[in-house]
Amino acid sequence: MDCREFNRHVQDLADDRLMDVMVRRSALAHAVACRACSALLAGERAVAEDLRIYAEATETASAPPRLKQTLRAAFDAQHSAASASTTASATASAKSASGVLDFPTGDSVALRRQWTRWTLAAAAGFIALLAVGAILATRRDNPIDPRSEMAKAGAVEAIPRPTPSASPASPPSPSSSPSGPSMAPGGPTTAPARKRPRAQLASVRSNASRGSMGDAEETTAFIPLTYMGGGAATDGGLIVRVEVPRTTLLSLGLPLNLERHTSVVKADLLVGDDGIARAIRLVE
Amino acid sequence: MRAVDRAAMMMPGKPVAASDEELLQRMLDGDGDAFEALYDRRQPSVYRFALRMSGSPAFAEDIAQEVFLALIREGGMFDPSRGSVAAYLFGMTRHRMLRRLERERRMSSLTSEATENEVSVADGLVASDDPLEDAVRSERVEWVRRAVLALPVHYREVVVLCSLHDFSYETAAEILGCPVGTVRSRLNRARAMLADKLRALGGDRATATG
Repeated sequence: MDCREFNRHVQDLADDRLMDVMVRRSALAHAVACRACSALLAGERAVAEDLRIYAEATETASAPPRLKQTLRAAFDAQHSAASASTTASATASAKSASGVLDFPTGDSVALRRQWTRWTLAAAAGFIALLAVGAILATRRDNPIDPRSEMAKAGAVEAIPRPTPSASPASPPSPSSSPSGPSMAPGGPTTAPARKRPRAQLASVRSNASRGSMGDAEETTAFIPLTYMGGGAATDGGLIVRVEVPRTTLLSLGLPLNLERHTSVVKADLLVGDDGIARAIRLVE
Repeated sequence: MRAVDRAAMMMPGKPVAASDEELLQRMLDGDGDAFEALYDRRQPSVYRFALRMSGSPAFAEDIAQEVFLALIREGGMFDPSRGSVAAYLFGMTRHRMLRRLERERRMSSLTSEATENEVSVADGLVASDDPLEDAVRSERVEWVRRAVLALPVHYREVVVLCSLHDFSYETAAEILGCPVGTVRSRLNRARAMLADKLRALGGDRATATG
């Protein structure tokens, strides 16, 4: 036997495991002749002895008696429930002569419960599919009218569709960015899609139709909320007066007044015909 | 002679003890006494497996409870053609242990000192007449415990199954779901790592004493 082969058997030697007699003798003879393998065997025997002592120290370890009581109670509860369900199913099948599924009496409780879980899951999935289908069918037949939805929200005004001759009633703010639509009181104007500009305050008198809203207000230019292509986004729509938290200003790229960041601010939302908010302007 | 899985002993004039499979079948049929008999027979080894893998009696108790609850609920899934009830229980124990050990590994180190809620297994050592010998032995046990717990999980489990539980390579391979050769090579590597750790913990132990 050489050192390599001895290496394969040293553990079994150290652990005193069952070995082929000839292999054992050969390995022990090699350990006598080879100092390195002898040291290796000694080291393995030391580890084996340590493990044996540790195993002895834990040999009597066992779970506390309360665990057995707990588990026995669980076992009794499990089989009481199983007996009740088996009795009920047996009664039901006895009453009906045909057309009733017989529960497999020989199967374990676990298989029966698994079957019940799968049935309930399939039923829940089917009901969910029906609900989704009904919702989709309803929406297809009755598309949501953003005007009616917005009318329920309160202060709503309709913006007339622009005509080629339409012109803004007041000049846009000189500092307003050319990007995005600048919403003059006369109506929306067509503008190419751009990145969101930084809003700049402009003193613009509110639309006459808003006279009922009270005192004159200062508004910023409209800040686009979506990327709008061509003129489609500005073909009519609604302006909805809302109140938003000041922290919303951060998401729009506006500076936040930390002293008043917990309060709300008035704003006008431009909502398109599809009900999607296109732009927002702040009102003070 | 090293002990392996012990079968029921037959003695003249005495009733033959039921096998694990028989007890399990009676348990599934609703026999509570059969459940208790199977529990009494197998719980200690399940508990010790979890204890030696984790070093924590509380952890071991939780795992033992989970395993036997699973046996109560899903015992019908046992397939005798795939192995023994003991191996089935050890497999369930291992699966639950690895899951919890992985979860707890992310929260704390298993090689840390025993917490206030844990009792070192060395404390359970039966006292001999020599207090000094007791102290030395207790310290040695604690070294080995820490060295075993410091092993990576996949090496630790082969050491626990083969060296502490005295399972054969074939039985360990059945529990671990890997070839016998893998068990041997992992055990070889694990013992080498263990020797290094024991040397680091308690000085050079390469030379056998006595």
